[in-house]
Amino acid sequence: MAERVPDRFAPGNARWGLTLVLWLTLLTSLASLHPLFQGSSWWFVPAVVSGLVFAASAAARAAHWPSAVASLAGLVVGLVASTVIVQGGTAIAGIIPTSDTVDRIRLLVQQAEDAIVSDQAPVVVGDALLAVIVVSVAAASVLLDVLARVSRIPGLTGVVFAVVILVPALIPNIDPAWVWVVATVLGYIAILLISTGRRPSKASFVTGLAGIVVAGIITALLPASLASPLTGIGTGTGISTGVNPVINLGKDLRRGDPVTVLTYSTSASTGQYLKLVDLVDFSGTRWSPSAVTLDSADSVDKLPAPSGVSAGTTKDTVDTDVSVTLLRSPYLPIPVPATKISGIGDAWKYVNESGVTIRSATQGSQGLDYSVTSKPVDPTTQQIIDALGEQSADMSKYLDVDGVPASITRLAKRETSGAANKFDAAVALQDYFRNGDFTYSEDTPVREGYDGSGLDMVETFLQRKSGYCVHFASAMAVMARTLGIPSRIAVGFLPGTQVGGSDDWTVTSNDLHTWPELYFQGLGWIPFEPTVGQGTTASYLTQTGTDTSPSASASATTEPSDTASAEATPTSTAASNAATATSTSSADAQSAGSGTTVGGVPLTVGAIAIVILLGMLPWWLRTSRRRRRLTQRPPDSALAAWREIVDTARDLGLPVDPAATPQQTSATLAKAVAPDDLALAAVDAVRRAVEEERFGFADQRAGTEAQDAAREAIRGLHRTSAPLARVRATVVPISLFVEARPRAAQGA
Amino acid sequence: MTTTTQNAQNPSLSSGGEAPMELDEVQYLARTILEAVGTVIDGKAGAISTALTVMLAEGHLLIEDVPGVGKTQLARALAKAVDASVSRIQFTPDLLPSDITGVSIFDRQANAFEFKPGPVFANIVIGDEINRASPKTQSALLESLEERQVTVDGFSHPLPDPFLVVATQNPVEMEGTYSLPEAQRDRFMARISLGYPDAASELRMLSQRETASPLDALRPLVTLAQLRRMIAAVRRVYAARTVERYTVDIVQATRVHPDLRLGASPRATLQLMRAAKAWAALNGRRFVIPDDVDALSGPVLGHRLILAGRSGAGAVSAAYDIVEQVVRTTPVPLDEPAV
Repeated sequence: MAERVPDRFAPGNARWGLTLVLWLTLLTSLASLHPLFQGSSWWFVPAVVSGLVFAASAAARAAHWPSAVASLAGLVVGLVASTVIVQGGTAIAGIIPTSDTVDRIRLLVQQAEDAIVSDQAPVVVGDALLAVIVVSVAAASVLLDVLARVSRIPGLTGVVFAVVILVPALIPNIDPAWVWVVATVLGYIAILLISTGRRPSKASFVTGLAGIVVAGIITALLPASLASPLTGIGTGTGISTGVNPVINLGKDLRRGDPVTVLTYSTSASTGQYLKLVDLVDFSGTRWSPSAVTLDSADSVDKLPAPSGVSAGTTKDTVDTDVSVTLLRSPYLPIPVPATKISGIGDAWKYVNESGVTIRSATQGSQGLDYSVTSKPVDPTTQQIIDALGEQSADMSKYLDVDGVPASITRLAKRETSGAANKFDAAVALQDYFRNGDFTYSEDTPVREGYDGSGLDMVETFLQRKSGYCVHFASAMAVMARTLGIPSRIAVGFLPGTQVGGSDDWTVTSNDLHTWPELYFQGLGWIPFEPTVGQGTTASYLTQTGTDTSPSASASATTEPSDTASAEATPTSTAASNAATATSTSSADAQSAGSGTTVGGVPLTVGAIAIVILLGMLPWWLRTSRRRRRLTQRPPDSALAAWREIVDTARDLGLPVDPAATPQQTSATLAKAVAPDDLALAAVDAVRRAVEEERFGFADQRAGTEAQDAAREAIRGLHRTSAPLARVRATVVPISLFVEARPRAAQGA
Repeated sequence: MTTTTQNAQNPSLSSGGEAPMELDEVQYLARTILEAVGTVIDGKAGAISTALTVMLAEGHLLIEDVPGVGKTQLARALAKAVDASVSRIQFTPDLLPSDITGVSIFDRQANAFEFKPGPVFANIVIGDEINRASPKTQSALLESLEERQVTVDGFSHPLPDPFLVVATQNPVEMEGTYSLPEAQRDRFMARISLGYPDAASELRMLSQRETASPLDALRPLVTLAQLRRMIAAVRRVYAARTVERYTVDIVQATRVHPDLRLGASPRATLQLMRAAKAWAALNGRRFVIPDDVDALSGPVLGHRLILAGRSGAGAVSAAYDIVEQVVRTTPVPLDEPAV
């Protein structure tokens, strides 16, 4: 039994058991992240990919590939599997990455960062986040394989698990999932036990523990910039809009702790609405921006004139300096209609399809400072009347609305029956919302399950009369379309809070807002403000048909927005979480391509299965060790059989000293099995065999008789022990966990 | 001074050469001897086994204990069970070296010096209360232990084979004793002490001794030839390299033990291994296992150790404790490959 020198290029053996435990433990540690994410696809998909990686390397070792090459095979499989998950149609045959794949990966990483920074846990796992998780888990699998099988320092695998299970601990208001943490630690111990074979050394435990400590220290010492993506998960240290900003808008409004997303100073006397993007396409279930491709020629240096605005309707020129802090968005918040923008790079292009908005495919808005010149329309009543009736441009895109419930159409007709023209009808609609019996609530729609902008949601909202900007804007835009008025929804920010008496304004996440814009030829896209208690309405938004209309008073400036939104802000995280939980289905309906969310049931079943598997692990490990020992080939067959007897006795709680000689031990065992002559003889036979094998003549080594005798002795030990001891030996075999220390270790 | 010689049969001077005995027979005969001696010394099976082991391992035995516990009885019983020449020397302060080795006397008829062998010329020599003699006399005996011959007036006279010295001594603090120097203690393979018998054994002894002395009833059980074949069989017992190293490990551990001023000598290693082989043979085994070494390391090593800062009767048991501790902490070479 010569000392085996680890040779990482020697042909490997599969060691399926170790591989299985590595995989299970990785999955267990991954499951400890469940407070952070919604659904379960984020767990199942990486589980499959990781399984493929481990299976590939283990299969390669089973085929006697060198150990290091087998790990390489796992890496290749991991790369291919990750590509399949991530590529989204950009790879050749789904597996060969192209330059488009690289771009897509860059985009996904960007989006994942957005999701990480902006969302509050539990986060909806979209394509981007899923891709990042899959790639990370695949990488972790390869790393584990290399650590455990090639470098043969299984203790260090603890670092990988430690990093995973430390993540929730870094996030405020998230309780670590202790069950999974404990299960992970158990799995880690199992890895140490299996990988070190017969005698797990204390050193490996120490190494592992040190690994966990080191991981903790490294995490703590990470530069803040590096740590922030990690520590930012679900804390919502900033807000992010994504490509369709309306998706997370409700969630951002409900966040407990508003953050300042930007500041601006303006030459105007009042605050400015800052628009990110217009939602034009209405599918019936969701508003979304029109699909556009950025044209590199559309430089922001020469912005197009806003469409449909007649000369003379704009009087003022407003200069606004915007400084974005914690907003990550592919769109720039700008006052509209903008005529000139300076201070941003070439990456930003204008998009004219849905109103002039500024967009970048590669950059985020975070940290930008820029100046915008805008010319808001401010028509006189006469100009409005003059403009009415000139409907020339093809606005069918903004009138497209299918399957509107009759109740909505009827309501729109009824509320605008007194209007002399379409402009008056629009004003009447605004008045209906602002001055009717609607109430502002960020929570009611979530609680009652109509949180969204789809037609069903709008219908329910019009009955319940309680909601927030998304509902008001969507309802008004839909109703306007039924009346033949082109409409779209703008997403952006309320003017925010004025700093003292200065020109400076602060905009927080609570100022996130949507409002409808209605198109009138000659006036262009005019912003309306139907949301009760929010923002201000332009002074020209009054009835034109009759001067005696009661809605004239509606032009009065409403209260500052802060009060209302502050009232509506949920005060406890629990309420927010509950709200999020009930909103899952509607959130799914809203979110574009946010991945499939399988229900919680499979996760629970998987969790129980893993717990059961982990619970059975000691028994399985113990049994396989016994099988291995009792089939050990000469020259160590008798020794292995003897060790098995000693360990069985230890499992059963007999006071055997692992350091004792076979004679001393057999004397102890003889006492234990005393009435059982068969077992007594069997123990004695194995004892003689091991003495002969270890100390006798080379030509008289024991054969398989010792193994048969050992089986008989083990049966005898079980026969003569108490039932409770037998159960304990099965469930918690002590020999698996406590090292049998030789006498040497105790010596001076 | 008293010397007695029994069994005046000519001591065989042949040195070995006999065919070794089968181990089964060795074990059987050994058991017979142990039982027979056990009738004389009741309840001291361990000490008797050790004594027999020393005999089979060609060593010499030192029995140290307070007077009256049967030291001499044990020696005599062992001698009687073997059909060998036995002499007994009672050591006294005025004993001279020539009283042991013998003297050359001028024979007028032959007109030459004739060597008159002393009591040491016997297969089994019982040296009673050896530490009562002067060091000079002690060394006369003890030199013969190792040399197995006596040199008088320039002539070497080989001692009979087998040759076994069983010396008894009182604990050193008894009156009128000379302490046995370390160098001489080292020549004894093993030291045993009998200790007091337990109550039952003592009671049994009373009833037995009423009628006749059990020692007188003891008849020789093995012949000298048989004894020599047993010894030859012991020599052939196999010791694996791992067991040899285990033995060396134990002996070396005594040399670095913090409580010991002097550890065991290389001679101790040799003798421990020989004793272990005899012990294995007594148990019918053809190879030595660590348990054999363990069993004999106390008697074989105990009297050779010099404790740091302690002496007296307490030192004896302290030495045993240290040996036991050393044995307990020396790893059993179970995992090492058998060679």
